[in-house]
Amino acid sequence: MRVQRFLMLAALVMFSMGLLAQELAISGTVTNETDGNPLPGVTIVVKNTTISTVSGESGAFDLKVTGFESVTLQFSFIGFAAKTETVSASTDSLNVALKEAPLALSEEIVVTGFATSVKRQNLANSVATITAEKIARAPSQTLDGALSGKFAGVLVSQNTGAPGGGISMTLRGVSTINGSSQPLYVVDGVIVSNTEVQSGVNEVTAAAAAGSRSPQDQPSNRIADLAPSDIESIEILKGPSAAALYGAKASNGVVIISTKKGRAGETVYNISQSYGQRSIIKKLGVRTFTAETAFATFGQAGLDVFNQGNFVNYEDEIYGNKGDIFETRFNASGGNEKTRFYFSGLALSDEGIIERTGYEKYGLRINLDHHFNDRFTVSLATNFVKSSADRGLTGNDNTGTTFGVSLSSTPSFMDLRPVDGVYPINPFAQSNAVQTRDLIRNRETVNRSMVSAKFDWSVFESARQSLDFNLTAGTDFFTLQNDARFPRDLQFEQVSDQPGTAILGETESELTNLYLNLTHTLYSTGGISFRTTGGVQFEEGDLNNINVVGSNLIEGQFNLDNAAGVTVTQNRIIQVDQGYFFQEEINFNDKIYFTAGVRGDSSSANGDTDKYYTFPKSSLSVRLSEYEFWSGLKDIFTEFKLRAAWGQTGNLPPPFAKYTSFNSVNIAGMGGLLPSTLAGNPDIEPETSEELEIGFDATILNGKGTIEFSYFQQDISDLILFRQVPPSTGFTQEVINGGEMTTDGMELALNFNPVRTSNFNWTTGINYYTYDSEITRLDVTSFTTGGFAAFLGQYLLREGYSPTTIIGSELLPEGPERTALEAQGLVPYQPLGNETPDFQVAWDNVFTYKNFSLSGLIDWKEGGDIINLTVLLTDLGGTTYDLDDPVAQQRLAGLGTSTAPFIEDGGYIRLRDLRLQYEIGRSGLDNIVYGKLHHLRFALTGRNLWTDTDYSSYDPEVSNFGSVAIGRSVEVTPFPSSKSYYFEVSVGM
Amino acid sequence: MKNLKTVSLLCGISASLFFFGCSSEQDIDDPNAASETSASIAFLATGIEAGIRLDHQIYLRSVAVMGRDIYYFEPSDPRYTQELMRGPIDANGFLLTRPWASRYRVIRDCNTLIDRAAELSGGDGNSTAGFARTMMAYQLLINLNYTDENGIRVDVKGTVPGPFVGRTEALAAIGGMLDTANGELQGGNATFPFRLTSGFAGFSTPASFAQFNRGLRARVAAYQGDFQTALNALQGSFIDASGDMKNGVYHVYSTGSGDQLNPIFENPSADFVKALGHPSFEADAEAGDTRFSSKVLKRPAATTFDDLTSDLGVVVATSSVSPFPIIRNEELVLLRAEANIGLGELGAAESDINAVRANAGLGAVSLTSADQALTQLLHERRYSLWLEGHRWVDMRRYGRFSELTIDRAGDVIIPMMPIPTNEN
Repeated sequence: MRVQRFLMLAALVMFSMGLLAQELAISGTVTNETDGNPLPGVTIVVKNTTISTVSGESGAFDLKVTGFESVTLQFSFIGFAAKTETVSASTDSLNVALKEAPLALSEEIVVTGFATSVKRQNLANSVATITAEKIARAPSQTLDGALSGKFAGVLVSQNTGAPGGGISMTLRGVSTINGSSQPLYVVDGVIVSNTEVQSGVNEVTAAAAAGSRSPQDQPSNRIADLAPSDIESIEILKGPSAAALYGAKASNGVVIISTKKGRAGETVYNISQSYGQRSIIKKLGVRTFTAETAFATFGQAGLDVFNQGNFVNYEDEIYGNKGDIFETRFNASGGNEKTRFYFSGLALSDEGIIERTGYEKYGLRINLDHHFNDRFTVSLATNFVKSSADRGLTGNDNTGTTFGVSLSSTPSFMDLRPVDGVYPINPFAQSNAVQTRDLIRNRETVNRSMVSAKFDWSVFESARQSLDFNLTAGTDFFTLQNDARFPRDLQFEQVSDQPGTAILGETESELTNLYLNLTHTLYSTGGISFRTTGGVQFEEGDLNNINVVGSNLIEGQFNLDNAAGVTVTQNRIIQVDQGYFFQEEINFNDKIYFTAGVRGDSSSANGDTDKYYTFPKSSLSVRLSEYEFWSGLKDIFTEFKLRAAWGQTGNLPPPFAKYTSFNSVNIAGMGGLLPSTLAGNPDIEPETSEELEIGFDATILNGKGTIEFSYFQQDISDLILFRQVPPSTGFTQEVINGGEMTTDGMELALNFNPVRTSNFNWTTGINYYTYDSEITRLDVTSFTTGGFAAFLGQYLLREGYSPTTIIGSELLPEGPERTALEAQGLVPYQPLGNETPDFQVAWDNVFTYKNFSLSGLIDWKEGGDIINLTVLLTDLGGTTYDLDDPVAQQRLAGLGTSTAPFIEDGGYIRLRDLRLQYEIGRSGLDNIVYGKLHHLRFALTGRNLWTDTDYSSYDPEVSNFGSVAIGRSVEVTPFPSSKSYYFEVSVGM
Repeated sequence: MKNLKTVSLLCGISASLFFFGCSSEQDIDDPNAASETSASIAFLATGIEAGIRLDHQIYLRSVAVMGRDIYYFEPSDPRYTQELMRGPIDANGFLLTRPWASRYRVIRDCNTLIDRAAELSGGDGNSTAGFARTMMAYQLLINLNYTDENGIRVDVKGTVPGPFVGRTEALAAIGGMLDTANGELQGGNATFPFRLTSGFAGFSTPASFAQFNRGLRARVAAYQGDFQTALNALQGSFIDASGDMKNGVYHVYSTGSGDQLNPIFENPSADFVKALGHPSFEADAEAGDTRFSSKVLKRPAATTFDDLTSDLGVVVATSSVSPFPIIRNEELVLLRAEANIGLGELGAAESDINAVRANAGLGAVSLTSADQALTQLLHERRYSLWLEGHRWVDMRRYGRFSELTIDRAGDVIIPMMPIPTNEN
């Protein structure tokens, strides 16, 4: 009701305002200073007013200004230095030439909330934005996969190498222990789902049935569905001070994605075709047996098999596939002044490094913009995606069924390959990995549609003020089917007397959003402008997962009605959220920029669903370079801005955290109830993150380079913790708000354009960032989490320690520290490592020479430890490649008392992407296809082509537990990561 | 005209606000699980019967490995062949914490059911409480078997659990609980106000369920060394030296949705099985003992894992839906023998032992001394109750761990489980 009144009032205000007379008509053209070509798309703003326009196809523009005798026009366009011109009634046609300045991004608009944005030159936060060229430099299966190393302060790490993705993104360190760990994704203004749905193969692998109850089905995450080639730009709000207007869902940061839009003018078509190949990044090698070692490890039975004399390198056999990749993309863009469209289609087929795995994706996007008239605009973005991933069976298990676990105890002298279609029994493990690979299916099929509609209404506009209304609505609907088939003749199915398992999971997810916003802008005569924005948000999510497991299947049949036994489980997540926000921005002559705002949020996930939790923010930036006293420094520091920002965000409790329920358990056809193991908390509240960020941005040497530096400190309070309770209460955990954590760090981004001639251009950029976290208060007894058991490596949560501290069996040496801990009744674990890297650096380079361009990104992560349990399993299974070395014997001998040998440095230096391109522009194509071609482009590209790491297993980018906040860096026989290279041809016409 | 448009737009916006605002109820009940109010007596009772199976296989496997009944070869977890056979036991490890927590979870259900029983009239209230208390005592006994001298919590009714009590006090409390329950069951009607599964066939009325209660009481009394109480309790039980040794109370399993399969079952002729009989079980077996031949299937090839080797397949469960015993006649007969040995009545003990032996196709033995009688009894218990969770407990009670086989240098017999870390 409050909102309605607000809207009515706003409407009244605007009608009470009069209009002024006197008109100034301005027209002209904008050109590129370098070649004199017209520049379409340049924004022309009448300073200190609401009036603006955009130059048309021939660079022409015209403006009508009423109520002024002379005005200052500002011309800005990304990639060019901004320029101002003063115009009076006597001015004739205006010709303006803009100078190229690739690093001057100051006029770029940065989104900071649902209806709020700011010019980069005034921005008080470090917000990184990357554009299409960098995202799509080398093909990537998934969108998030293309982002590694591209942003300072953002750690993008792959959880599994399985086709179809599975990636986690950490912005400025972990900010929660038990809460959601992934950032909020906003696509074209609307929140979309990034859910991870477990496939249900745990029914076969029983990975979560023993040491850890955490799901380990190696899920993919749903942001994977977006096509990287459709993205115009990605912007990341890393911390609470930047993301405050996104409120209770933003404590892990916000990733704002804008998809491509149509451009007015002749319709332009682009077709590109890539072919590529994928192969394992690194093989570990296999143990070479002798008759003695075969006997010592596997007994007489082992020696008998050894003497048969067949040797198979199972790394080559299972992980050695060279996967073919085909990708076809098509897009068309065009329209007129009133209606613009962008249309794209994608077909991708990407084979995995394990035979019979792979990923296919088909996408269709139509983005439409329509101006009804000067005051009403509608933008529609629709995306339909169908993807299908065959993900194999990898990772941890307790049944000896996954490829890796099975091979960990299978020596190379055991030949698992079929003879006349019959797979030999593997006496060394519960499964024959070759048979498993050849006969199972673990397929994930997604059908998804994402639609967002934006309606903009210029309710009122005068030269000095304007009132704009915006309605954004969106829906993100997908169905995800997990179809896993384990035929009855598999070796491991024969262990059961109910052989054959079919798992069919059907998940429907629907997210709907509605946002209503009002923005009022006022330019005072003194050069001070005010912008007031307010809005309300409604968000509803409903995820319904039904998982059916059929056992004892009829030969060759996988329909569930062919199963003798059927088990059904269902899980629903319903969440209803409402919020409002209000923000005031004051801009003093583009010199000082101040904002203050607040967001309020209520959610069905909170204990008190009526309560609005508020998240305030405030920020200030000062462009010192705009002041007179700076003029002496202008040649070096062309632009210099000091900035400070403060804000809060939240992290909602998991939707189930407030309930203490009874779970159903059945026996012999009768239904029973048992109390849940989780004692819910009816008073649970969101976590709160508070951040102060200070820094400076500078453009140096007249646009030859930029420097951005930020220091931030985050304090996270009311941490949601699953506290262990004495299990004799009947519960094992209860949910509480209790704990505080602090993270501080710095980010430095340098960009230079050292060489710029008509033929040769070189731009280079370096990102550096580092952060440290510490638990400052814990209202529960210190505990270990993640992993499987202390002696197998776990994470220690304890006051004064980093939340990503890794411990093992080792205890602190005798001394005061140990005594102090023991006095508190705590186990004096010795920290053995830390998942958090010491620092990360990414170095990006783009060279262009005439028609050639070469670009690449080197990603360096220093430190960051990983618990390598793959080597533990192969040690136990007697198959580790180095097991005959003394060092391996030592590792094995210490098992149970010494965990350190399994905790390894996961640092790496990696060539993330590389692109060598040759492009023929329009002028070179005059005589081909009647001059219809715009461009013809050939490119050789690659991803993860080169890696240098001390990590002994497949790849330091790994997580057995998916995107959990604490406990990611655990490796158990994963789907190995791959590198890929491509040849691409692209034609524009 | 302009005003009209504006007004109609604002109306539209207001309408959509109203629609969203009202349709979105934020106070949602748990969509996935029942609240306490919907937990009826029948649901709770069935929940208890289903719940006593949860994670019980971890307990059974662990005590069978520690008591050298079996090896458990788990390629993806070193604990079964390392921690359980040479220690130290991780007080936070799942081998301990999961069955422990599941037992107390069932006990919470029992306590809820006892509260509910108070709302029922006379006989139904009595029998329901008697059922819940018997099951609670059984669950406490399982946890006490794990931790022994380290003790358990007995009073866990409220939100703050009561103190840990040592073995003696815990056994006394469990015995007392069973006695109270027996009294309540005697005061019940002809039937329970809920149904039990076929696992309780023959024990599904308050009066017959009391026989199960007395059987458990006898087990507890034997653990206490209170042999007269054991004999008294056995008189109220279903003991029958000439009857079917398999008669008793069982866990049942089915392929029904939400049900469990018998987790002990593994296809014994599969090419790799995890549970394999300890070689000493074959070495010590008497020729012709059907208890050996019916529970073990010799495999064509021995399996070696972590320097342990065995070729003894386990066929205690014959299918994934075969029932698994909770307590049965064979144990009761041996409990009577044990009590009589304890009381010096070797003659009475001899006839019970020979009844069990005859059932296994073996000739009679004679008991000559207390020590020899006890050795003989423990031998019979080992073969009669193999894998049912007894040997480790029995050898501990009589201080005979030194008689268990040590397979590898560095292996030890774990005497008892520590108290789980999260109890502190």
